Amino acid sequence: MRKIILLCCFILAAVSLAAYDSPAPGGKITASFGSESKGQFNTGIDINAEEVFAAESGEVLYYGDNLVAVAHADSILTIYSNVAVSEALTKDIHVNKGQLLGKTKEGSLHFALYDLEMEQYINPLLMTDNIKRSELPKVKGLSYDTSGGMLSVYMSDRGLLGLYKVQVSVDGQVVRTLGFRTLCLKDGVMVLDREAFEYGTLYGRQGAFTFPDIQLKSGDNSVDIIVTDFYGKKVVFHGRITV
Amino acid sequence: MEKKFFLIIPLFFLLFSFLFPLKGGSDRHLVQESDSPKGENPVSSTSYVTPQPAGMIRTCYAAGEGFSASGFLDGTLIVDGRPLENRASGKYKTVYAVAASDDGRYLSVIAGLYPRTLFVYQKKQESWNIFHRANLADDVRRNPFLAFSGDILLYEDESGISVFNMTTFSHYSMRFSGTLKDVDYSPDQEYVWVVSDDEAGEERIHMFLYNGSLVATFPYDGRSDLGAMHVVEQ
Repeated sequence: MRKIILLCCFILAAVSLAAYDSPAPGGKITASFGSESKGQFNTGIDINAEEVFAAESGEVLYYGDNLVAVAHADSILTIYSNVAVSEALTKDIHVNKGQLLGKTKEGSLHFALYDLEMEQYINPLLMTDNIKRSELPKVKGLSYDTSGGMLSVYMSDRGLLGLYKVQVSVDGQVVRTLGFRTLCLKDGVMVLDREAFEYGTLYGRQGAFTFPDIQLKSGDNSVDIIVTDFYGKKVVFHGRITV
Repeated sequence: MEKKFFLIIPLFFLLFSFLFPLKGGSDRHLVQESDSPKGENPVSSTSYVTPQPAGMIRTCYAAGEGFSASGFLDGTLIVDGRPLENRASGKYKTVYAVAASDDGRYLSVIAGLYPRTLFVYQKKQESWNIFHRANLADDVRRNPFLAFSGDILLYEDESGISVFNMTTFSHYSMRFSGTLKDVDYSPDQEYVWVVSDDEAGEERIHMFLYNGSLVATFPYDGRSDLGAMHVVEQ
């Protein structure tokens, strides 16, 4: 009896730790959560894919011409757009994890997660395993405004591309860290730990992240920017700013 | 002692995993992970609200005399640019269909799951009041058929197509075999044509009177336009 209880405990614990699967195994991300999409925040991620599979077991809440929304037990909706819905899906409202939902219409899937409880989009990368990124984030350059102590970090693609953390060090000392772990979209703004960012604020001018109130000393300053993606891969940018 | 220890570890692990589910590293309560080194704060920003709403996915749209209505996946219902309370009572409030009467007096909405509910709103002094409601079967997850023909509402339900006359409060059902594919109706409130297909994929047209009486049923070649039949009947 005790062995059975132990076994049940382990099974339940394992189930509670399970993550969502990629809806397009092997597919590469072409646009990430929060990146620019027609002048607005991208509500999900775009993945190169031909076939689309259920990221988790659930119940079909809605399907239309090119969209499927599946409701899951934890008040999360997985939303698959740009999909020609499988005929089987129209007859059975319950889907299993990994079940074929349909085929993409133009080889690209838009995949979003919506939290009904929190009433906001959340980054699918936070809840989804085995999605590979196509490329690492890149830093193009730095600029510094002496009047406001504003350091701007210019990214290569005006997008977050799976960004997890941006860290700024001056002369070897970490002075700022901006984490995107809890970045989500609510009411048209990106929300990060109760702080809301409108589009222009999050990306700044020319796709730059801005860090205010950084005081650099007169003369040469060695500035290091470390950008980390969701999988821990790091890009280090070394710069020198002369004030 | 050793046996108790081995029992406590998995129980503790189980309790911990339920209290702090990892879900691939997610944190749904927006408590920011402390990435900053001690003494350093993450960069902060002034809060802004953009003029656009959240932009949740729109599932249906209708326009009547002097107003328009949109329904959304998350249950939001926008009428004339303003939110109208979605009265669906279940956990999911998804709006599956909206229809507007030509004279702008009525709005109908199919929304929610468990129960999935049909609402008819009537406009009175610039406000929309619920005029009629009925629970429908929960198995349809696409945009169901919903339309006004004058003061008559036609809608898809588990039995086929139902007719609700808002003047007389009379109610009729049109029953047919197979899966609903298309519906058309004459504006003179005389005929309703329904296209359905059976399991073998054969499509048939069923011709009804508005009171639910079946007039005729015949094979559909898929090429005829229901709208054209509509004209012939007139």
